[in-house]
Amino acid sequence: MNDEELALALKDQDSAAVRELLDSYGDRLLRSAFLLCGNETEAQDLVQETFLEAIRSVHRFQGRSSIYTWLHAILLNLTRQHRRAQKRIVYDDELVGREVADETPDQLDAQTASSALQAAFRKLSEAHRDVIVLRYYENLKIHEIADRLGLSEGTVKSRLHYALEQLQKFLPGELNLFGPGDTEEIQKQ
Amino acid sequence: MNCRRFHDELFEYVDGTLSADELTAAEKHLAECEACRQAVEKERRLASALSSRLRQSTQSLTLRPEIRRNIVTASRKRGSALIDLWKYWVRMAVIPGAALLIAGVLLAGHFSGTRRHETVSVPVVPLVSEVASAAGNSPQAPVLVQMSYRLPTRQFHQEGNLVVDTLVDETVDADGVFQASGKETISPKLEMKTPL
Repeated sequence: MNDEELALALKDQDSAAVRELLDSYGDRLLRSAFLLCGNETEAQDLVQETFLEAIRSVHRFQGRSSIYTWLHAILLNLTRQHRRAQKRIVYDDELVGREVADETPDQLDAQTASSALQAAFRKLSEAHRDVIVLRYYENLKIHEIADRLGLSEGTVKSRLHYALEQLQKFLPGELNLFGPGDTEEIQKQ
Repeated sequence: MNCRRFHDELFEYVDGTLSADELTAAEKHLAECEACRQAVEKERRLASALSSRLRQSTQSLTLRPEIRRNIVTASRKRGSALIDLWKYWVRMAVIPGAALLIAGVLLAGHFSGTRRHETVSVPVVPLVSEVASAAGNSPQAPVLVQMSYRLPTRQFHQEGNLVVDTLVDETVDADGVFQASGKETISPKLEMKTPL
């Protein structure tokens, strides 16, 4: 089913359409939710809420964007509401940071590198995390991020600059994404 | 375009969202500025590396089976909830609707035709005699008669799903002049016109 057919099937309460929606976008949304909120359990709950809200409000989907874009917009709104409700999410940054700092470059396998990136990511403010996820995980353009967050394009660019500076500071040197080492890695990929 | 202006538009340049004029100016500046060319390359390299690393760091995450089940079950419940809601509204709308229709038919029947006056004949001989004797007049003299009577009236109201027709009394005051002819055979009736 394409997006239009999927939306029509959802409006008809078609369970097969719900399963297809989950197969197509469930994991992708979960990963984005995890990056946004920093906690897997919360991410799972947020994705569940996102799908339920989407099913409830599918009559409002007008096909101006892709279904994934629409779903992600719901997820982002729910995440921000959840943060406001929680006031503050506490991470055990010291513990994660110490685990990473104790590793030598040779020991930095893929899993450790992922943990290090996640740890650095969690140290970012929510505002900085949002712009980085939307820019570098969801691959949105500046004006799309501005629309999604209700900010001016200038504010988005400013936040991106500061967010990248912070991320560079929090990442261990071996994982520096901003140096020439990564160029070779990307070219190999 | 200078370096500062180019850096302001770096993201839009990489996104390919600059206007034709802005793009021309940016390309012209890039042809002359090594630092800005490196900045573009750095942004593209960073975007690729960060995107790749973010994907790697989350690729093991999958939606839990119970979450999937919850969503599918909730979507089914919503379907049945909609049916239940429809049944509820049918029940709530059709039954009173039918009752009102019946009441409407009854009322239409009740009030069909032109409003008319009903003639009420009341035997007044004892009354007139009493009035006349009390007044000390002969029965032939005109006598002002005042009287009140209770008129049965139907009222409709709803009780739950029923329309209830209640018979109530309405008090009507009437008066008239009685002019007896002096003959005993006179029909001692007072005619009153009372709107129903």
